[in-house]
Amino acid sequence: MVNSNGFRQGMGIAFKLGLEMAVATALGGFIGYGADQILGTKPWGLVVGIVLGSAGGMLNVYRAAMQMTKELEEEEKKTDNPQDTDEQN
Amino acid sequence: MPQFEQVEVFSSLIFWSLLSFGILFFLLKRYAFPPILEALESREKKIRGDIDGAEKLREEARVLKENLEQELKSAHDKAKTIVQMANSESKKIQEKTLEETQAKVRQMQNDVEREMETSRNKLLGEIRSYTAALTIASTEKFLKKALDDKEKKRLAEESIEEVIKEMQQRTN
Amino acid sequence: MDSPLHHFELHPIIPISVMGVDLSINKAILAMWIGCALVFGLFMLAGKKGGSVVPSKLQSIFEIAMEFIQGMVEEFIGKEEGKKYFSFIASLFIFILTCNLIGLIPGSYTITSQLAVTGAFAFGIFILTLVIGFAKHGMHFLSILVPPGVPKIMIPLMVPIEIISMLARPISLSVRLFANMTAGHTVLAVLFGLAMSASIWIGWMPFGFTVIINGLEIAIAFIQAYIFTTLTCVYIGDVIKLH
Repeated sequence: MVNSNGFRQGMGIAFKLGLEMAVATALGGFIGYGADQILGTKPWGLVVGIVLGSAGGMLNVYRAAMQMTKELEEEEKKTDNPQDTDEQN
Repeated sequence: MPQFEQVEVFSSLIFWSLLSFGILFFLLKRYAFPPILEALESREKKIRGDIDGAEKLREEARVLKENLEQELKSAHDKAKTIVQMANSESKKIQEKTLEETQAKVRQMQNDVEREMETSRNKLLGEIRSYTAALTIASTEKFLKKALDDKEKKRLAEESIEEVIKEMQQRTN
Repeated sequence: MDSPLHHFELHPIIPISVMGVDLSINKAILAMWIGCALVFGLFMLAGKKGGSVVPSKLQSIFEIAMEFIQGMVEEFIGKEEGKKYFSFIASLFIFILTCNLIGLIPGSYTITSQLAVTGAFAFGIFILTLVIGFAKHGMHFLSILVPPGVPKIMIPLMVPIEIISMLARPISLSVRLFANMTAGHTVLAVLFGLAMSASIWIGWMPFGFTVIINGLEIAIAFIQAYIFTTLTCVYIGDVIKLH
């Protein structure tokens, strides 16, 4: 049960981060494609857009991962010294 | 997927969901949140107040105890010094009295000695003078008459008596 | 047999049209209204006694929820600033959670499984963060596009990357909620379809799974509502703190 729970959590995180990455890349590609259509710079807009988009996606993934690490650390801190929290309660 | 294909329902979905959320937000903010938040806050305040009160009481007790201890300590110290002072004072007094007594005793001794000396001197002087007188009187008598032993004795006694009488007269 | 996605189709119950825009009431909207009314009723019931210091059971449940959201808002937005946004964040959480949960009742509809709806909310939140950012920092707000510690020569590269990453946020926010809700309901629909179409001898198995998955879906309803509101808090916190 604990194992499957951890597995599901891991899948959740992977899905979350993957989504960030995919969305940003797709958005960059979309913007680049639109620029191509308007400016007639096929295929360079798409290329630049996807590169920038994936960079943005990485940025978002990085931020999300940092957020998760912070939360995890806090949880660990809480579980490390339960006596303290008990006293506070 | 109907979510992408059924474009014609988007407008109504977006409109109604945003509107409903807006209304729910307004209603919750207006009517539902305040009492619950207030209860939370008042409870927190009460708990905090209680804890603060307890803390304050404890602090007060601590201060009180400290003061008391300090007072006790100072009283102790005071008593100690008083006892010490009394001790030294009494010792001083004792010494002083001893000294005084000793001095007095010595004085008295001296006085007595001096008095004895003077009285002895006086007595000696007197004895000397009476002896002289006696000698003179008895010699007088011896010289006047050659007398027999009986007479001699009587005369001597007479003269002694005379001397004693004279002495008595003088002392009186 | 119908496609498992068939039940996501919507048909107007009360057709309304304002100036050529279709505003018909359909099943999804009715389900949402019922959910909202239920939640509001529960809230009124919980706070009926004017919020007594010793709470009733219902009140303490809502208090725990409120404290939970309060902690979230305080952590990501800040203690002082957070108070202003608490009502909004809490309402958002409650709204999304309600919509997620009401859809688990067979025959009703989850409005958050419509990308148009989650997209509208995410877009609205995106606009809100922009408004908050500009109101708070003025033109200085644009510096959010340049992460701290970036060399000057990198700025022309970083600005479009930051713009894309910012624009991607509401999209991933809405897609995540929509995808989770749709996937859950699709799985349920498939299993239920299996249970109905199979004979009773074997049909109880997918039906049992439906029940189990339904329990899982409740957890996902909570988790997704939590993620959506947490990320909203993070985004608002980002534009308030500005790095």
